[in-house]
Amino acid sequence: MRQDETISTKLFRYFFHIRGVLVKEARQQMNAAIAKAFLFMWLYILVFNGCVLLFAKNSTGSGSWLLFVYLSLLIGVGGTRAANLHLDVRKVTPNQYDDAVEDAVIGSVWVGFLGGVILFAVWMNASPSDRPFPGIFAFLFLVVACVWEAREAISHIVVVESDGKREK
Amino acid sequence: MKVKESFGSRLLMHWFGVKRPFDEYKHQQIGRIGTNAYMILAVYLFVSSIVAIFVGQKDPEEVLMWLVMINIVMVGFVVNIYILVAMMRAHIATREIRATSRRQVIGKAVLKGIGLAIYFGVFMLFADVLIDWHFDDTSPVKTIENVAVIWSDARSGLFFGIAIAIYEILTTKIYKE
Repeated sequence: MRQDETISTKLFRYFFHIRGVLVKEARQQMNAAIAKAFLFMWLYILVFNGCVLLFAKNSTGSGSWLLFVYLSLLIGVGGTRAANLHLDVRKVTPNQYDDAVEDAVIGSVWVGFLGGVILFAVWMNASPSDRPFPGIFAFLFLVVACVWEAREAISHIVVVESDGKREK
Repeated sequence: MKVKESFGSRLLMHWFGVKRPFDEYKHQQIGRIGTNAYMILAVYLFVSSIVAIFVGQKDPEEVLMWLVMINIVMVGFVVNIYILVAMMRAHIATREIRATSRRQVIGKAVLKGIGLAIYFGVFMLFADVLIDWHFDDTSPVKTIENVAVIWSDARSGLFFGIAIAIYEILTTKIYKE
């Protein structure tokens, strides 16, 4: 039952965008995959540090080092989704569908809002400051991030027959 | 229960320093600990990259050096210490031995410590040669002939070897027959 989940399970669920039921076997399967991903991430940080120490001396501009930082950002964000083993599907009965969509939209607004703010801030900061209409861009980033996230969440809601019918 | 082991999973177990046999419990615990460590690192990478992008516009070189230092602290201390503590708590790093073979195990640990001390000392010497050559254009022969460098690397090797030997001895447990 989702209500009885421990804090670590809830954290795990939010972190890896798992909307469906997280059974013990699926969790163990994910753990095994993520532990391997951790090894690669650890190696990536090691290589990142080595490259910076070796090449920073010859680097003349900020462009080359920014590439590394953006790559880290991509891995940090992408890492939360990479290990998803199709567990983001939420199965609901027909009468629960509206509530599930409402939940998905509310959750997506928060995630989209945060993602949009970060994306916009990074984009404005990393690029020249003479970009026109920053307000419009900020709004567009937020809307696109919210809609994208909501679309993802709603598309992963699957209507199944009710428990009563299944029992029959 | 013994589970079928892939190359990746064996690599993972060796990397975490888990001793054989690799049973299902050990696999589960490594999965759990690895996932927690992954979450810590992913959040850290995300936050540190954003902060670096914001702060790094004015003085990229300084920020980059800070980022490298914080990376070392984060990986070397926070994540690795978490892994060590979690593994100790889960009792997956310990190896059970008979009381009669304790002396033998200590001898093996000391030998392993000596071997790794030599490896580590030589590795550090090569690292010093490369670093001096790359950053200060110092001749490799000159670095190798420098007694201070050799002594410093020997001490590093000695420290590493002692640490490994102590760890090997502490992670063995005598079981009651």
